[in-house]
This record gives sequence, C-alpha cells and structure tokens, in this order.
Amino acid sequence: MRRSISFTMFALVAGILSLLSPAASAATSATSATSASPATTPAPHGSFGVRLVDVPVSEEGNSRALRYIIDYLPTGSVIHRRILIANGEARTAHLTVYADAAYISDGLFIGYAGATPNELTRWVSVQHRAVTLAPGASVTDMITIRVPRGATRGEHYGVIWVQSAKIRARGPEFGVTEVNRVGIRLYLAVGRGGAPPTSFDITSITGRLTTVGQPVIVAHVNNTGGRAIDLSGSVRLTGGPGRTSAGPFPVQRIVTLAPGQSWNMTFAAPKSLPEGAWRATVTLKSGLTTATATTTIRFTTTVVAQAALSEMQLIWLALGGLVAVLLIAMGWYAWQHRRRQMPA
Amino acid sequence: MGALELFTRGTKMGKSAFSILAVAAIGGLALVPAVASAGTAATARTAAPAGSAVLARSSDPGAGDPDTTVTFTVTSGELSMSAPVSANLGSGAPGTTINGNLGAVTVTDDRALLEASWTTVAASTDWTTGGATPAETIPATDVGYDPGSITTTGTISVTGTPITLSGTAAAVATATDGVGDNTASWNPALAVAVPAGAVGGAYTATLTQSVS
Repeated sequence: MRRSISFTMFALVAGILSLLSPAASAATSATSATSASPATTPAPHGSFGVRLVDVPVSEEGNSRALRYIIDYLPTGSVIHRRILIANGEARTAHLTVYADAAYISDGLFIGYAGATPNELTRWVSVQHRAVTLAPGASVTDMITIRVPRGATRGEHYGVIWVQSAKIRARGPEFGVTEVNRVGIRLYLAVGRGGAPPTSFDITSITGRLTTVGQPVIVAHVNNTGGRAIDLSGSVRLTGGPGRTSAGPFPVQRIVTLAPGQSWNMTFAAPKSLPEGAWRATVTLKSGLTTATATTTIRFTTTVVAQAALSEMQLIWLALGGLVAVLLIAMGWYAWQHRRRQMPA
Repeated sequence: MGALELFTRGTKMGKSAFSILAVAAIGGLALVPAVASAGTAATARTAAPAGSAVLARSSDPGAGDPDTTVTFTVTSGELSMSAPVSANLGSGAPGTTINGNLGAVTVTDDRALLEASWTTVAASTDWTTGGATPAETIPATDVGYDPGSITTTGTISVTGTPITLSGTAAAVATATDGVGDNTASWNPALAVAVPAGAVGGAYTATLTQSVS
C-alpha cells in the first residue's frame, strides 16, 4: 500500500514532466506538371524584350527550364540555345547582347552591373552582340556555351542581357542616363555522371502577427541539394475556430537559393483571419521538385524579450512549487515523528 | 488523521520514496527554465523537436530522359521592359535633397507561364560633373530609389522595395505568382541628398535597371 502510494506519486510527477510531444506529420506530394501555352505576341509598344527559344525536350514540363537556361554538362561539351529579341518600340532599337556574371544572395538571383566576367561568361559566346531592329521587328540570336576541360565542378550562374544602348542625357541640371536591360538567367552545372540532386527541406512552420496585426505564416527552408532552386508556393489553413479553413495564400515573393542556403518563406493572410490555432499546410515547389509540410500554428504577437511568463510556464512553476511544499511537509512530519520516537 | 498516519508509516521506508520524489521534484523544478526557453515567446508549436528539425523533404517525379542535346522550340511572348532612356531630376543647393522621378518603368511578362516571376534590380554609378574629383562627385549611396506604388494588369503580384543606390545591384521589384500575360508599372522616385561640400554644376550618372 505504502509502496504503491509512493510509486503513484512518483508516476504522477514523472507523468507531468513528460508532457507535450505532438506528432509530426509530413507527406510529400506528387508534382504538378506545368506547360507553356504557346502564344506568339510581339513585344508591347514602347519596349524591347527577350525570351528563350530552345529548351531541352527532357525539361518540357519544367516551368523554370522554359524561361532560364538550366543545364548539367560534362566538361568538353557544347550546347546551343537560341533566344529571341523583339523590338516593340515605335523607333529603331539599337540593342547589345552579352553575358554577365551573377550571384545568389538573400533569396535573389542578381546579375552584376555592367558586363562582369566569371568562369561561366568565358564559356559563353553570343552570335550577334549588337542588334539593330526596326519597329516591331524581332531576331533570333544564338547562345553557345562551351564547357572546357578543367572547368570547375558545380553550378555556375550568369545572365544573358539584352540592353538598350546608352544615350547621353544633356542638361544643365541633374541628368540620369538610364540603361535598361532584360535577361535570361543561366544556371549551368558542370560534372560527370548523374546530375546533383535538387532537394530542399521545410524545417519549421510558425505563425506570427506583425505590428499592424497582420497574420503571417513563416516556413523555414534549407536547400539541401546540389542545384539552385527558385521557390514558390502557398499555404492552406484548416481546422480553425468553428472548423473554418482559409487560403491558399501565395508566398510573398519567389526565393532563389543556391545549394546550402536557407530562407524564411513568408505568406500573408488577411487581417480578418480569426485568432486561434490553425493547421497550416505549406506546399513549396521549384520546377518539378515539391515538398509539403503540415503542422499546427497559432498566431500571437512575437515578443522580443520575455517580459511575462506564458500560461504553460506558470503551470510548470506552480507544479514545481507544489511538489517542493509537499516534500518540505513530508520532511517536517518525518522529523517530528522521529523526535517523538526518540527515547526521552 | 488518515493523512498523518500515511506520513508516519511512510517514514519507515521513507528514505527510498523520499529520495525518488526528491529527484523527481528537483528534476521538475530544473525543467521549468528549460521549458520556459523552449516554448518561447514565438508562439508556435512546431512539430519538429529542437535540433533535428525537418518537417518535410522535397521529392521529384521520376527522372526523365537526361539527354539535353535534343531541344524543342518554345513559342510564347517575351519578357520585356520599357523605360525612358534619360531623366532630368531638377536642381538643388548643397545640403538639400533633390527629388525627381525617373519616368514610368513597365515590365511585361508575356511568357504565358504558370508561376511566372521576375526580379528587377537597380544599380547606379556616382553622380559626377566636370573632372569628377571628390568635390565634383555625389556618391550613388547618397541617392534613394523608391519604386512607390506598382500597378499591375493580369495575374501577378509585385512587391516594391525602396533602396539606397550603389554600384551593386539591389532588388527594387520582385514579382511572383504570375499566370499568363501580365504587366507591372511604376514610376521610381529618386531622392538625391546633395552633400554640403558639392560644387555647382550639371551632374550626371548612369542608372541601370535590369529584369530577369
């Protein structure tokens, strides 16, 4: 009897200590194929534009491959990709075409200003580097990429720019000469054998309220593969108060990550979203690679410094205090008992 | 009376029960700060335990034919932009800020893709006059570029970011979630903080806006 009571108490305390381990549930979903709907449109009036013409057949369903030159090549290989340059302006356009180095940082793919060389740009040759187009006309240009022996393994980044030529502004005051350019990104990986995998992990999903009371869902993503990814996606909320659901809400911006980089993808929900716990399902995709994760979130304001204790912490403290008081009481009674038992 | 008996009887084997409970209680109390820091202020209960933390891994469909030498032809519209080739921002005295607009910049994405996206970045050279000595130079970092409000047509959502110009390109507008043909247009506002030591003259710079 006594043994069972003390064990019960032990079990009680131990049980209280082992609270809360929600089960994770994650499932990867199948992909959705995307395809470009063919539509031939000239560049809009007053503008100039560019697009990719040749895309590898193996990448037919990959929306990234339809707008960027993405490839995995062994050293010593050559590829040819045509691009189309169009003039939508009402006057003759003088455009220059050239390759530029690029880098991926802070979730963005950025080409350097000017024509900055890197290893990749030295492999690229442009057939027509200066193009003159009548109003409404377009022309095809050939981009050739020769990967030499001794090229560095890994993924290289660059851009093929089509640039409007500079016209110097004249004026007695502050003049700005605007150089405008549109480009096609290059994601060129070099290696032999199988291509490096494209993969990314969703490591956490949290909810928070901005200072103006807007609910924001944040999904942390790691690029765990060997290729850069351009992530887009959406979040769907279910199981809200009164079994409501909301969304899907799209990602606030598309994020480009080089291998090894991480980012917090954010999704904004309307301010009218009811408070409480929600089940958030985030689906992210880059090209044909997708990941879906689901977890429970709750929207409360982020507190930078822990000024006040949360409910949970108060409960813990109260329990700990109770146990301490119990022990002290037991110990006191035991001491009293011993005193009474001692022979006088 | 019953409770007191419990305690007095219990003291016989009190040592073992007492020590078990003591350990449990101390453990419980010790965990309070640990739980306090783990279940923090940020509100959410993520499914992953601290440290190992992966909710989901991505997956691909089965790999297709990897041969990249066979290509097909894409027929669609272009990614295009229209922008003025020059702008005059006005004039101002040293120590003041000159505000002016570059003129409407429009990015049109006629590539008719699902999940179309593009990023526009801006970079600028320094503003110089005369011989471009330090007194005749206004660094690009004294100039702010604010895309302001962005109007769109078609299905696309664009976020504008005010930046401080420099020789390194920074994103001023990022577009996401585009479906079909769409356009985005904005008129960037430049704010030039003229240094107090700048000499008078006609300053010019080259500002590059790039969309990819």
